Parts: sequence; structure tokens; C-alpha cells
Amino acid sequence: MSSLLAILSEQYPGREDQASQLLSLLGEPTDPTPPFIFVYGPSATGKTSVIRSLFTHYDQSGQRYAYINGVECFTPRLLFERVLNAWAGHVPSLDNKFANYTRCENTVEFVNNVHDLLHDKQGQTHYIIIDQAERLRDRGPMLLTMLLRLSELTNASICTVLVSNVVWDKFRPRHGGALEPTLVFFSNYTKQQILSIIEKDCPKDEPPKFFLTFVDAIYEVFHRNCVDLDELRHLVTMLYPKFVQPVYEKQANRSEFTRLFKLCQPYFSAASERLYLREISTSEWQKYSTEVTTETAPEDVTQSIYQMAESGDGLDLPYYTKFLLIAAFLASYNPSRLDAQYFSRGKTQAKRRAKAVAQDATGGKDRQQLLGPKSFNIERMLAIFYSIIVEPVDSSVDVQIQIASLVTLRLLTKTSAGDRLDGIKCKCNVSLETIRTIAHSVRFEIDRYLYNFA
Amino acid sequence: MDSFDSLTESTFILKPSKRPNAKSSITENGGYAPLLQGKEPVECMELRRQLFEDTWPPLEKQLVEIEAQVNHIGVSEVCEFVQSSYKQAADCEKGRPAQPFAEIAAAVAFAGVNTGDHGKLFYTLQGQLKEQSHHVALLESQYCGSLTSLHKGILEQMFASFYSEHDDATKQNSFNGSKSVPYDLNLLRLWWEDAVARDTANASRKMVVILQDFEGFQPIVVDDFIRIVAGYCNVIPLVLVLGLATSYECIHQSLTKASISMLNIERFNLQRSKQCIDTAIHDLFVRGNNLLSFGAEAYKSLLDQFLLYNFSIAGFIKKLKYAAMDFFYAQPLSILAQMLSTEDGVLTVNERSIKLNPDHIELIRMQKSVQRFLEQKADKTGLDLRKALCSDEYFQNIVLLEMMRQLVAYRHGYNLGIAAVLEIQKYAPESLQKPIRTLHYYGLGQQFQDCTHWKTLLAVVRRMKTSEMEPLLKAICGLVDSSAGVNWKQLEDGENIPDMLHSAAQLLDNPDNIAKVTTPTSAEPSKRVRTRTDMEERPFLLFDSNTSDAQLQALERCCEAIETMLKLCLRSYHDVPLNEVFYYRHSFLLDATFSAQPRAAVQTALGRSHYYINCNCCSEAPQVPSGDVHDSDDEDHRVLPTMHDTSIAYRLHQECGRLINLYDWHSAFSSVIERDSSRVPPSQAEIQARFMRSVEEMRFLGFIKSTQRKTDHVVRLTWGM
Repeated sequence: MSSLLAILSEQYPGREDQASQLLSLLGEPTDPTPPFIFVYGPSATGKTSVIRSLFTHYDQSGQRYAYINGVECFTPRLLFERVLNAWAGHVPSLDNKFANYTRCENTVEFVNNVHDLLHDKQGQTHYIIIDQAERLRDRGPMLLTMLLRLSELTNASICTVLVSNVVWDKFRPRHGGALEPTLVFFSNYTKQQILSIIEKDCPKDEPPKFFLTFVDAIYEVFHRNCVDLDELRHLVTMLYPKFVQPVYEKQANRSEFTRLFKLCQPYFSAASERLYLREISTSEWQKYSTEVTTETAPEDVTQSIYQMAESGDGLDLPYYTKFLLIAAFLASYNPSRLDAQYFSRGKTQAKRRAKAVAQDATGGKDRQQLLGPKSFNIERMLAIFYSIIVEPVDSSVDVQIQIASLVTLRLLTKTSAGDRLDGIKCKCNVSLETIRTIAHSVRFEIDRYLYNFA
Repeated sequence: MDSFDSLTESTFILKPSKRPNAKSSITENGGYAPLLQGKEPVECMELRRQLFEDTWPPLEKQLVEIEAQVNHIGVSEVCEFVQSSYKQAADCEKGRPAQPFAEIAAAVAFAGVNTGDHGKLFYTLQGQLKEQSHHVALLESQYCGSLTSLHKGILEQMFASFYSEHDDATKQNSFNGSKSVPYDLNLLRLWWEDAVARDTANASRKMVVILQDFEGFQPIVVDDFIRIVAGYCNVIPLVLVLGLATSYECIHQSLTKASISMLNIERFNLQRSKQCIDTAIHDLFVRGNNLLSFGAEAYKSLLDQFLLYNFSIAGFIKKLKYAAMDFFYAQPLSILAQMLSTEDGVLTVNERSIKLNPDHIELIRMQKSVQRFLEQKADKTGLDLRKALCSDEYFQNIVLLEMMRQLVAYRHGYNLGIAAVLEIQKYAPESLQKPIRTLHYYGLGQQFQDCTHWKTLLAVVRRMKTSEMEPLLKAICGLVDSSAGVNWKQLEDGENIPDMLHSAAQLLDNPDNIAKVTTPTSAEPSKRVRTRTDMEERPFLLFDSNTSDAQLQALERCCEAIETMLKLCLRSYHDVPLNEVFYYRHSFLLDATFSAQPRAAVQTALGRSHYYINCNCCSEAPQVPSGDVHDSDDEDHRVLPTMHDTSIAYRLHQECGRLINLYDWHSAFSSVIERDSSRVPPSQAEIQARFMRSVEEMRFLGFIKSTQRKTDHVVRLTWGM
């Protein structure tokens, strides 16, 4: 037991407390265990890794625990059959025609099967570990309760371990039939712990101390916005090669930290956001970063990083479809009472518009831009469309088809019921930047028509 | 038919009363009917049908090939990506830390908004990937509403791919006969491990899941699926291909941050419909010797549909096919097409299998372009106009052949002209470069001297330096030489064009010869810029001061040569004899067929119902001879009691304002009905019933709706027309 603890503490720095708590709860294979352990904590705090590693070491045969992913087992049947497979040591293969241990569709069958299976293995505790357990809440009210009370139902010694990043209070079923869990909390890592974890990522041929300094700097820069360990590791992996590049290209040596940071600056500022949001993916970044050397000017670096995030981003629509989308945007964000002012070609137009804008310039808080798109009638959109388009267009079936295809492309969202053909209502699902680019490409001054936009 | 007098009962089931005739007139001859008021010989009709069957399939094949060729680039890029994914890339960069966690290899394929064509594109991609012996599952959103159906789709396709070489017994048994199989990725992992255990070569085969229309999928389903795959991606090589019609933003909108960070995305562009259309236009309309060309109007309609509405290649092909069908079906002179059917020559009369009818010849003579041609010929070459008009034999053997030759020569010349323009465009700034579809439009639509784009390009040529002019001229000379088929003599004043170009090129090589060739015309050669015209037309004089006079003159000669050539080659097709036949003109047919106008159709049906019903009572009335134009216009709007009830109600409501009083409407309605002197006036109850039904139909058609404000009023909804 203590050797297991030593292995875990070595593998997962900073998780000694949790590991020892869990181990003390499990005890020896025949010891009685709490029927329900609830492991929770924020994401990227090592819950899954620690639990998985703990159980692989704890039960070498692998027949006393079943590891289930809550997302993956999207039907109860998948979950039940996997648990039974694991406990029975059954592996589907060509020989048994890829069949599971047994067919098990509902809870009654499951309880019976478990009862039969564990009947002769009395004394040994069996475990069900469910990762991302919050998904189970949506799979019927009784499933969770049944899983928690499985040892009562089957008269066998069974312990259910739920792993989640949601607190127990959000789980507790309304009907009150669930047991209260034994809680194991995984806290956020401290700075020291994070550093010692990332230190393990250090490439073999790099001096660890040098690497650690870099990691320290990354942590200081990003920890206010991002406490997620995985994200930090991702950033380190992406940015470190750029950091040491000058060393390999003989532009600087390892003792000149300040100079190295200065050389790395453009990547920090321009790339971090885009890397972090995955607007640039790992492979795109790697492909690109091999092309750039230290000699490239910082402005060019910034420029090309922005370009990389935008490449292939152009939304290319047919000409009239662009206008349709613009009309939809206007219909979504402008109040319909002002349509006459904006789109009628009367004489009083200019005067009245100036007045309206002046009135509402201050009332900024509840403007539509901040509230999001409103739904509008298709007829209103079409009326705007025919008024903003320069040349006269026949109202042919093509326009209708285009509306339908905009809906399939999710640029418009239908808000009326799907089977209603009369008075269809839609929302425009396009951002202001996109619509500006589109309007620019057809030389339409959209800003003149937008009411109360900033 | 009396039971169907409601206009809004749109679908009728008409059961055949008798057994249909074994051979109805419609299906006879593949639907072809003799033209020329039925006087056309049957052979000619057969010939037209034959010609269509000979012409269209190769054309369609060519189009499909073009599409495949253009798509090939993008598709093979994706294939390459799949092939190289999950490989431990040789670390080309030093000091890279190991990836902290495995990411799913994912390709985002931008396929453009023409969703109709995507099926074919992704099918090609699937085929290509399968050829490289990957396991592929191609999924469409409509069949993947939930995680269960998504998994089902993937596993069923993968199973077929994994165990295709196995005997049927395995196939049948492997699901243990159970009705519903618990599909999950674990099963897929087992299959893969099984395959690798059988043969280690299988380890290099990837599993590719293609989500054809990413936008259509429920975001939550894809999100969950990515989370699930993330658990497997270090065990099995599963590659995702996301087909995207709009933009990259869409991925960020629909997926959560957590699942995006599990993807290692590379972007690919499969969106090449414009490129495809350009190639198609170049190959078919400009370069091709195909029998059917499009006139400016029809071409515009074809292109507008594509550029303004849908970017759809399938739609483009459909329209093209319709035009081809219409040409051979409805144009009696389409039999002339067989004269053009050889590579570039024109068949003589003897080689033709079918002789033309006097009716045909008369029809040819009636074409405006033919009349013009004859007059010109008579003026210039002393063609015997009388003989041409009176003797069918002479016309057919000599004149027609001559005209066809001119037509062919024009086609070749036009092709050459466009090629030359493309060459010139290479030297023009990017903003002046136009795609071939636009160039062709200019070439068709306008006379050479009216088109500003040609002028701009000529201005570009005029501004060229010697160093630029030389390769350009060489390229153009090359084009002229290579297209030996061009019969310059057939083109008006075209005989000396090749010589002119060649001599200009020679002059450019050794400009000093110019003195020998031409006598110096300018009295003051030292003064360079002389007049305002010079400045405009030869701006190179201003900046290129170290060019010698001789060189400048040579340059000028080059410009002239190029201009003359373009002017000749890019004439409008309207000047060519027989253009009415061979340049398809029926753009209105294309529009009516492919862009229906539902609202206009309903309004015409109600407002001018005699067009549809084709009855005497209503259509006769407006044709009553009337004194002046004004009166007849009135007649058209007159409401007659013989009209259909709904039509009467529609016409009456057109005279109303926004709100319509139902009582007034009713009294107007009944007064119209009662005016019918030929019949016994119907009872008030009947009139009211008929009125109610008409109003209900109007409401159903969307012309009116009831209002809350005034209970006895309805609101009018449509205006105009």
C-alpha cells in the first residue's frame, strides 16, 4: 500500500493527500468500503489521471473495477454491458463475434446480472468508476440512484466512484433516494506544484534549470487568466522552441534571459491569444514556426501570425445572398418602427433620421447590439432586401431557395416552429465583423443603416 | 373537370379513365415533332434527335471531367494529410518539449456554399481515401441527429470496410444476430486491433470520419463525439474531416473550448466552384468547337444564376443541357450543326447525308445576318445576288458553305483573341485582371470599340517597355503560329495579321531596321512629346528617356499590330452570318424554367386568367375592336361576370386601399355576378356563398388577412402589379 502511494506521489506531484485518502478508503481487497465515493474538483487537477493510475496499480488483474466514461456511454445499455464485461474479464473479439458478456438493456437485468456474477466472489469489493459523471444526471432519474445503491440491491460489496468537476449538491436527486457520498476534493495546484509538473515535460537535451526559468516566466504571464494546467503546458510546448531558437542559431546564449525574452516577445503578445483560443492549431503553428528564423523582423512575425489565424476564413457567398444576409442582419438589429425612416426613399428621410439618432445616442444600455439578434418575419427581411439592392430583382424562387440555404448554413436561425410554413420567423446568426466584411465586399455602407450601434 | 373549379386546390389526382394508348403522340420519336409548320421531313427531325444524342453526352462527360480535375487538387491534399497524420514528425526543431496530450488529427475542408454539389465532392474524397486503403465513413447531418445514430453510421460503414474481404458467414454472424447492436467506439477499437493482429500492414491504415456538412450537425452531438474520440485517439488512428460550407468561425461558434482544444486542425480549401466554372467556360465556349454557343443574353442569364444566386455547378450543367435540348428540339436549322461536326473544317454538301428543304433555305435567307452578308458580298466581290436568292442549289452549295466557313473562322479568331487578352493580362496590374467568364461576357456582349476593358488593356500595352513587349509579342506570335487552323482569309482584312505581328516582333529585335522599312515621318525626331494626344496615347515617351527613337517607333508598331489583331478577333458575334442559329438566344426560356416566379404566376393567373384557362368568354372580350389605345387598356381591367369567382374578387380588391370593407366588396361582387345577362341570376344566398369562398381563397393565397381593429374589414397585403 505504501509502495503504491510512493509511486503515485512520484507520478503526480502535489496529489499525495488525495492519493492517500483514496487508498485509505479502499483498503485491502476484502475490507468493507464506503458504497459511494465522490471525487470532485476543478478541471485539469489530475482527477482522472490519479484515479486511473491508482486503480491500475491497485488491482493488477483489472477484473475488480470498471472504468466508464460518462460521455462515451451515452445509453444505459452501453454502461451496463461495459461494467459487466470488465468484471467478468470478458473481451469481445472475433472469436466470440464481438459480443458483449451478456445483453443487458435495463436496470432490472443489470441488477440480476451483477448479482449472479458477484455471487461467488463474495468478500471482494468491486468498483465502478464513472468519469465525467455529470452526464449521468440527464439519463433518467433512477439510473444514478440505482448505481449508488447497487451494493444494497445486489447484496454484494460494490463501491461506486463518481468523478466530476461539478459539486455533489448539483447531483443530489430530487427524490432523495441517493446515498450521501464520501467526498474527495482535488484542489487547484499551487504555483510550485505546477512548476514541478511541467518540469517533467522538459526535453531530454535541454538543461532543466533553463527550462524551468522559462516555465516560471510563462506562469507569471498567464496565470491570472488561465489556471488550467493543460493550457499552460500547451503554451509551453508551443512557445519554448521559439524561446530557445536564438540559442541554436547562435544569436544569444543561455545566460542572456532578458535578451531571449525580448526576442520571443512578438510570439508572446500576438500568438498567445490565438494559440490559446486554438485559432491556430498545433500543427499549423509548428509548420509555420519552422519557417521563421531569428532574422525575421518582429512586425513581420506579428503580421504573419494574424494572417495565419485568418487564412481561409473568407465567407464567400453569391452576390444576392450577401444582400439577403445584410437584410437579415438589419432586420435583426434595427427596430421595425424605424424601417420607414431608413429604407423609404421619401424626402423627409434625412431630417428625421438625424433627429432619431440624436435622441437615442445616450440610451446605450439596452440597445439591440448588446441584447443580441431579435427574430423577424421573413417578409420584413425581403422588404429590406428589395429596398437595399441597387438593381431591380425579380422575386423569383431563387431568392426563396437562398433563404432556405442560409438557414441550413446556420447563418440564419429559424425561430418559428419547423412545420409552420406561414409567417416564418428567423434570427440572424452573424457577427458584426463578418457582416461588415460582407457589406464591404458588395460596397454597401451598412453603418449608415444600423440604428444605435457603436 | 367541373368539380375542380377552385383555384387553390392545387393538386388533383386524375385517374386515367381509359387504358392509355399504347403509343401516344408525345412519346413517339422521343418527343420530337416536325417543325416548319409540320412540313419538316421526318429525316430532318430524326437528324436533329440524332445530333442531340451525339452532342450532349460528350459535352456532359467533358464537364464532369473538368469538375473532377479541378476538385482533384484539394481532394489529394486532404488525402495526403490523412496519410501523414499521427506520424511522429521528425523533430525538425530543436528543443521542442513533448506534446503534453494527444490531439485528434482533424482536417477542416472548406467546400463553399453550393451545398448541392457537395455530395459529389465528398464522394470523390471518400473514393480517393478508400483507394489508399483507409477505412472511411462519410456522414451527413440528416442521418445523425443523435450520438446513437452517429455511431451507428460510423460503425456500419467501418464494418463494411474492415470485413469486406471476409466471407459472408463472418459478416452475418459477427453481430450475433441481435437486433440492436450497442454501437460504440470501443467496438471499433477491437476491430482495429483485430485487423492489426491479423496483418501488421493494417496498422498504417487510418480510420477517417467525414462529417460532410458540419453546419447541419447538432453542435452538442459533434462536441460529445469529439470528447469520446479524444479518449481513443492515442489507441486508434482516427482522423476527422469536417466539411465546412461557411467559415472557420462556425467551428468556434458551435464547439466548446474544451473540445476544440482536443483537435489538431489543418485547413484545406476544396471551394473551387468558380475555378471550375472558369475552366468550363474556357473549354466549352471559348476554345471548344462545340456546336452550341451562347449569345450574350443567354450567357448572362447562365452566369447570373451562378454568380448571384448559388455558385452551383450542377445548376450550370442543368441549364446547359436544357439549352442544348431546346436548340435541337425547337430550332429547325439545328441540322446545320452537322456541317460543323468535324474537327475544324466544314463539310461540303456532298458529304452531308441530308439535303436541305426549300423551307430550310428560305428560313436561312430570312435571317438578318444572312441578308447583311449577302448585301456585303454583292457590294464587294460582285456576288450574284439574284442567283443567291433565287437558286436554291447555288445558295446551298456556294453561299451557305461560305457562310459556315466564315463562322468557323470567326470562332477560331475569337479563341485566339481571348488567348491574346489572357497573355496581356499577365502584364496588367492585379485590379485589371478579369476572370475568363467576365472576358467572355465582354467579348459577347459588346463591340470592340465600346468595351472599356479592352481599352484599358490596350493602354497597358501602350505603356509597356521594350523588355516587357518582347516576351508578350513572342507569346502572341506563338499563339498565332500554333493555331494554324485559323483561316485568316475568311476574316475580313485578316490576311496580313500574322505578317504584321511577325514583322513587328522582328523590328523590336533590331529596331534600327526601322529606318529602312519606313521613311521617317516626323520632321523633328529629337522632340519626344509633341502633342497632347502623344501624352495620352504613348505615355512611355515620358518616362523612358533612354530609349532610342527607333525603339519607340518599333514599340508603336507593336502596339498597332496588337490592336489591329484584337480589333479583328474580338468582333461581336452579331456581325457573323448565321449567328442567330448558332448563338443560343432564348434566355427567357432558361429564366422561366429555372427561376420560377411563384407570386407573379399567381397574380397572372388571377389577373389574366384567360391565358391559363384559354376560354373564349374572357379572352374574346378584350379583343373587341376599340377606338383608341386608352380604351383597350381599360378593357383589360374590365371585370366580367364570366370570370372565375376568385378572379373577380381579386380584380375588385385591387381597386381598394389598405383596409377593405367586406360589405362593399360583397356588393361589388354581387353586382358583377348579376350583370351576366345570359344566365338566370343566382340567388342571394348562392352569391354570398360564392363570395365567401372566394374571400377564403384570397386569404389562403396570402392576399388579405383579417384584422383585429375593424371586425368587418380585412387588410390587403400585396401591392403593385
